[in-house]
Amino acid sequence: MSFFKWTGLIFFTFLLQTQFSPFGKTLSLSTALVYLFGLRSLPSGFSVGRSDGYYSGRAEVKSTAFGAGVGLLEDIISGSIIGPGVFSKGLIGLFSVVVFTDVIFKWTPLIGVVIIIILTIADGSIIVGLRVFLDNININIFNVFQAIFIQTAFNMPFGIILKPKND
Amino acid sequence: MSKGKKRVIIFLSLFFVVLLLVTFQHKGKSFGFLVTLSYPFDALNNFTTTVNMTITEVWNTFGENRRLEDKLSAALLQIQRHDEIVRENKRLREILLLRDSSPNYIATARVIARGPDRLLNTILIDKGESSGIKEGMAVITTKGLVGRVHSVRGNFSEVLLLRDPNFSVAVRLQDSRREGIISGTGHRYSLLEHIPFEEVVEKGDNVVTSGLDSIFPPGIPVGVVSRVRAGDHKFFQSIQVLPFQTDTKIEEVVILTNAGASP
Repeated sequence: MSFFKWTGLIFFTFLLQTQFSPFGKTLSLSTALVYLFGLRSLPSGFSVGRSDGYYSGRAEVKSTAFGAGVGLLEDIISGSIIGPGVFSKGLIGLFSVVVFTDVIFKWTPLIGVVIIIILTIADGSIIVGLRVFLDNININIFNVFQAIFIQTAFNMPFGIILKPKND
Repeated sequence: MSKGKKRVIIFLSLFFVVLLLVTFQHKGKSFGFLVTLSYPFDALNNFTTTVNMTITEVWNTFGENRRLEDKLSAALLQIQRHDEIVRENKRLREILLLRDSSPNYIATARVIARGPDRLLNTILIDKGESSGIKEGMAVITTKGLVGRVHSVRGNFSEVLLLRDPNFSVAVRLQDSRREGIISGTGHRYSLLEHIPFEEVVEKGDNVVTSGLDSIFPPGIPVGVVSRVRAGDHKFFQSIQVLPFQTDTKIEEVVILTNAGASP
């Protein structure tokens, strides 16, 4: 059941991402999807801010793998070199778990927004950086900033909506 | 193993996977088999793109339809204006011809309103004393007699129409040359009076002014006989005449001076 749910979500996310391009820029809804998976992969007994040295290595591996898979699909669909998306989304998956186990002590909507802003900017920057490095493509830095800004703006509401299971 | 080390392993695993993928591609090899992963998505994407485009096209068609309707309305309005100008041009040419062919011509005027007096059948024209118009002058169009000037102001005049009961004019039956007098009735038709029973008058006979009243120049078309009735108790026939010029269709008129008077 969970497999079908996530497969459906992946399809729906990529469908939205390719169908809607506000101001001519592609959205980065897949970042929000990986972030959601990271949140949901935390064990049901886990609550943000517990100080007993809790560690969920299984959740980190799952989330990283999911992110890498989503990134792989994104790279295939975009038709570019396969790798930047895998790496960036894999990292987003890993950080989505780590941030709730080791960085923040309490989830609030504001912190959720800040996290998703950081993750979206990180995702955009890693992809652009790797594409420039691996593909030797020329980019307009203003356009890149504009695209990341729009992606961040559209992902911000997800920082409020998506929250850990026990909050 | 500490959680830091585990995280480094996860990170390095990810890094090496990506490195392998990139190296593989840089050697000119492709992941053709991976593309199959995107087939279901491509199919769905194509479908939604088609639906999206169809909806957009339908929406655009509505907008275009609205724009074309607006353009069509504007074009129809322009055609109507053009037709109106052509008709006006034709009327004015006719008036010009009438002016050139009328020795008693005084002025050409436009009808600006119905007369203010409810008891009289009158119209107002936009020329008055300043254009040389005086009371009693004949008012005609290219079709025929309209009436006579009833009152004059500086820049406009009031014209008493042919169908008003206070109006009368000396006329002649065009074919038989029999004289008579036409009087308004307040209805669509006027009455031709003083035509004796022995005179044969038929429906369709034309009536023109005779000029014998010293008001209207002779030969102006007045109307056509529409009904002839010979009453037993009267000395004259009762003849109805339909004016050539319907007073609801008058736009421009020509004012003529009295018969016999020099312009």
